[in-house]
Amino acid sequence: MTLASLYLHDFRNYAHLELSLTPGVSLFFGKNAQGKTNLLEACYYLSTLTSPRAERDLDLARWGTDRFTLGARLTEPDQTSYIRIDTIVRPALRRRVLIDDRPAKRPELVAHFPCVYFSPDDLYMVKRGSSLRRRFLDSLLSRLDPGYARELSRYEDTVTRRNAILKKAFMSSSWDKTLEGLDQILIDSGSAVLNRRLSLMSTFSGQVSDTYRFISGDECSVSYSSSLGDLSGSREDTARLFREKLASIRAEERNRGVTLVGPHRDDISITFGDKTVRYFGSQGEQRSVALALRLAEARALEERLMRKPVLLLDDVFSELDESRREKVLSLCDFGHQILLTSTDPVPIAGSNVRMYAVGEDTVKPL
Amino acid sequence: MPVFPDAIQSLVDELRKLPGIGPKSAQRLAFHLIVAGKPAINKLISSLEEARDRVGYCSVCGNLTESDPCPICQDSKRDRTLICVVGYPKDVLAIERAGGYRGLYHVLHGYIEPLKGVGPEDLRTKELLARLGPGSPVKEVILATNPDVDGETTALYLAKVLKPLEVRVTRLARGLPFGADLDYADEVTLARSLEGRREVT
Repeated sequence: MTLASLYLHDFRNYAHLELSLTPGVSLFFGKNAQGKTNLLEACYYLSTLTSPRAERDLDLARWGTDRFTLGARLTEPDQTSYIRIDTIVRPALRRRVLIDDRPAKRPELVAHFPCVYFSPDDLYMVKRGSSLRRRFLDSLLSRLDPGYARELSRYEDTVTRRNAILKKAFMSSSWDKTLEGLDQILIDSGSAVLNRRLSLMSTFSGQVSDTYRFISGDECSVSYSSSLGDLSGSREDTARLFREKLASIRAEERNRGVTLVGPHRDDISITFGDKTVRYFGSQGEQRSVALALRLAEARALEERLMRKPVLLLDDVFSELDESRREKVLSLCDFGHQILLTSTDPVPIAGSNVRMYAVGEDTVKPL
Repeated sequence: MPVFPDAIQSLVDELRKLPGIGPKSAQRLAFHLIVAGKPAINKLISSLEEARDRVGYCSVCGNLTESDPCPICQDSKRDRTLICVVGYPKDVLAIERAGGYRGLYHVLHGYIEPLKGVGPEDLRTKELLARLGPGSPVKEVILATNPDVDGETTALYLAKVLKPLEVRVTRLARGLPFGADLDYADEVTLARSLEGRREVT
């Protein structure tokens, strides 16, 4: 699959843009704040209906407009297909998604045009607290399995309701009974979420090690670390463990007014041998781990969807050394199309590289 | 900047308070009524008054009704051993429309919503228990709450409260919608459908 052309209308700084692309590497260069990242963002939106950086679609419409349109032409050896997304952002959010002129939903879009987005901010996935790592895992799982997002939101809804009751100063017996019911839903939905995460991790941790070794030549290991303890048993064991844990910390939960165990408190631990990368890795190592996580994401998507995801790499070269840059670019030899941004026209060897100058709200192929 | 006469503006403001009516729709309705003239407006006023004066809640099941008890509670042909518990009067309408159910209802007037501080005591739960007291003919209570967390919480709470009573407690099946493609069903729905499978007879 090749993203052969991209169409933007009233998206971010672009009033109107049509761009032809080729397989291999497309490098977009230009000064800061010229709209390089916006091009990658448009691709990601075409794949997932979400922006990797804006919280709201409202911010994606060009200043002074209430709607934007994105389009893509995808070519395969034997066929061509089109994606078109119209989003109205004001007064209320409304979206129309068409694949080959037929209405489509997000799961079809993800399966039709898988993309992986790497941003320099991904460093924080490795460096900071657990919430960004959970978000990474949840975002990947919800693309691999449309039912996951629903189960996760059922779990999260249960946590917020449970917390509201735990915060009550006085617990009547009827609220206490309500809490028992919520515990039941918490355990049921929480075990379902855990089950999916663990089943993904059983292959994903190996994929991260592989991609990290590919980039850096070194070893790192990744594992799921749960607030419930050891989850090697069956789903029934997990549910039982969850129940026991809740019973044992009930008093503390009442004191603090929050749900203290469950998948919303879990983490992915990333280590070099026995050292946690988060505390002991160098900046360069941490950045390589972040990139390895994204490349493993591409592998996981490819295995499930049987399509090579397009790699959208925002400013990836700024902090990688020469050999790691070459490794990343060599991925196009494995069939990935790569869209890159950079502030300089980095000299890249190879015949399958095309450069585009980005500036003054337009893009010119060189 | 006064755009409309005050009387129209206050009509628009009142209409806007109705569910599903935004500023544009409110204006359209207001202008429509003004143009339609006196007879149409008087008719609307009298039906509003009639609804206000004649419709109330059934003292038994809590459904909207003009007579107390309501026609469903009074209907001798309905199965008095069955009570279907729902959140709102509109749910009674939905189940009646579906047909096939011949038992009685109990309307809770809401769900347990911890985020809004709405607890079991704020719903018509005591009235439900009263209907199931000694000598009650009810053999089965069907919990037909919404399949979201508040609906589930309410169902689980009622199940706990009803457990000591000699009554069968069931809840609506959840699973594949009719006409769905097995292939496209997500795993959660499919897993639930498997859990709730039934023998083919």
